Amino acid sequence: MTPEQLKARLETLAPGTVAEVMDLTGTQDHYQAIIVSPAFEGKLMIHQHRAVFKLVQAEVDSGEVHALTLKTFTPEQYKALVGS
Amino acid sequence: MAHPLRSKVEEITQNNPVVIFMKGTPDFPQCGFSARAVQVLRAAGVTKLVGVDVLSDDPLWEALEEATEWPTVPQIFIQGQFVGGCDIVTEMFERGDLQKMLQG
Repeated sequence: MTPEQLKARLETLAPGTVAEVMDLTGTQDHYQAIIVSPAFEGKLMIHQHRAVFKLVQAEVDSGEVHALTLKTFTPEQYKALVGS
Repeated sequence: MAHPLRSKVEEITQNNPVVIFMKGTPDFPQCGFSARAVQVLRAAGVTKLVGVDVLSDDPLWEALEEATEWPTVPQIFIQGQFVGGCDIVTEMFERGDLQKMLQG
């Protein structure tokens, strides 16, 4: 899965979702993603992560995506973090 | 049919405020991720931490995995609720969410 494909997939989570994807190893199977989505509001972090992993379940199961480290934020949390 | 030890998992997690299913014990962890999770919980102010060593209780681990559908240890429960593994708990600690949850 290319970084562009992964980004597009992650952004299908909900309208207004923005994903930033980093290929950690250059082999297109170890990724880190920062995802900002209004769909995360009011959810425990584990449920945020589970919602994201559902989107790439097939690729994780097949081994095409071997590792995906997530950082999830609501838009509000992200604004507070970057201070803008 | 549910795993016969599911009720034991529920009993442990419902009757203790903070529980970690881990490799080893809180004082003698046998895995780096388990060790880090214990450190984070203690740094967040947890004094009564109940540790369950999955290495010494294989069938219980099977029941736990079935209950949470989470494939790895450690697994942390707060007030009976499954919160996550090492990465999630660490991230929640860094954001201050873990401390809030422990107070609530």
